[in-house]
Amino acid sequence: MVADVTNHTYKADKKIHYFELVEKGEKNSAITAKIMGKAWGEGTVRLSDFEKKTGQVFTNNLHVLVLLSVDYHSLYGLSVNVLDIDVNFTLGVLEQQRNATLKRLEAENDFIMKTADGYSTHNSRLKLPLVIQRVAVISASNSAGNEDFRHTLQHNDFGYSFQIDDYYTIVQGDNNAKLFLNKLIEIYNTGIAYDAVVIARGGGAQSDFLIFDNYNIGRAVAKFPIPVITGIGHQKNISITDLMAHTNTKTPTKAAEFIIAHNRNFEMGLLSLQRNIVIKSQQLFLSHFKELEDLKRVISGSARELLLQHKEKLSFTKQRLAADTRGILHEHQKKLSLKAQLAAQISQQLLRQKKSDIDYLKGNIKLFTAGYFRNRAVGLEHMHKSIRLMSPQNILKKGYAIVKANGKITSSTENIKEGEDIEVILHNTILKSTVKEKIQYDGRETDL
Amino acid sequence: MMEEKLTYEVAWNELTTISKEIENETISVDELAAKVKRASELIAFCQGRLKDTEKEVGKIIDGMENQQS
Repeated sequence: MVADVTNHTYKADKKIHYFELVEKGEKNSAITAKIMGKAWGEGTVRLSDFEKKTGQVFTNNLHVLVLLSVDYHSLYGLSVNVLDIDVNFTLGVLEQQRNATLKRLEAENDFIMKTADGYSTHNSRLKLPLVIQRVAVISASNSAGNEDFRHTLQHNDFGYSFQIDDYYTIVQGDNNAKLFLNKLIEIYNTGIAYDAVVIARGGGAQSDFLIFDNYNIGRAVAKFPIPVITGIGHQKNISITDLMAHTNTKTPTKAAEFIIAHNRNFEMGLLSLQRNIVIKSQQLFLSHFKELEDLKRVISGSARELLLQHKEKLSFTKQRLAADTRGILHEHQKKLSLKAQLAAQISQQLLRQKKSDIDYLKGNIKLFTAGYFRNRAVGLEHMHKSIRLMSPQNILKKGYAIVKANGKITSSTENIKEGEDIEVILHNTILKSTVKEKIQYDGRETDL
Repeated sequence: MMEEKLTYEVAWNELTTISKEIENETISVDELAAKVKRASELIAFCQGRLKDTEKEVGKIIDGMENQQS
């Protein structure tokens, strides 16, 4: 039979479920059929099996497929006994409800969007603070989940301290959704700047997690302005609250570990920054020291080399200077000695020359003196002869005559006048005569 | 004897300039002694500055590491 459960009660001592099975009209949900039912013995075992597998408590308003036996009691009338219940039927129904709820959440709220790997909500888009320290926890009072969460958080290996505020509520049963919602609102209304809100619910008995598939809770979580971290221990598929939350983890312990890891991550980043600073500054120092050392070496090396070069240049120049000087001196010396030699030679030669000139002259003088004297003697002799020839006696002997006028020898006739007395002296006679006539002639007669 | 305003950067730049001058032999022998002396002063200054800074940074880092626990 497929039916809805109503008027359910459970006698735990006798382990008997009492309930009514009803059929509702499709349109107005009005009850169209009803029958009393119970489950005991094997039936009760099957029902608790069903609760474990579905996470759904067998209770009112549950739509189930059950295998029944029909009883008739003379006093209590007609009733049915539950022999078995179809888990998959209810799971399917729950899945359909869940999908419908998800669709509705997505359709009716613009802050919820379906993504490739889940849902993006206002809450999931919030950025977790770098460090999570102030936490609000929604859990059942004194629950194992709350304890696990608190214990894990407070006894972390890194000495992180946390401020944990508890907000107790009932975390099961779809009908307690309103209480749960009120707790969320209460957290918001405190105005405390919580870093995160944690929903913690331990594993324990696998019964009734349907509260976390509730539309209103899902919506409230999706819209909540503080990042929500879920730690809901359940084996069946992930709840709608998990999907709407910022981060979902499998258990309260895991939620605490997530928070510790988040803080650890921050600290690691910090430590790594610190390490980097230390290493980099050491490297920087090292490289600067090295650079300085290098520069020092270069400067002293270069300076020394420069000095050496200058020294070498200087000593080279010195050497060359000395050599050059010596060379020049030597050259001059050579030239000088050559000159001296030459001078000596020349002077000797000159002397010789002069001597030979003198000798020559001497010879010449000797020679010429003798000639001279001879010539003079001859000339003298000749002269003597000429003079002898020209003596008036000789001339007169040759036929020439000397004319004397007025007692003086004359060759001109200018002062001799006609009629004047003159003496004509001949070789051995003087002719006293008178001038009869003066006749001019050209002297040619004597050339005859 | 170092100027008050001398910084590592300035000293370093002057050092490299001197080094280059000496290396490239654009320095005269007249200046050489003075320049090398200046270089040695600058190196001493830079090393001193580095050591001081290193010590200071070391102290700060120690402080940083002590804050951890």
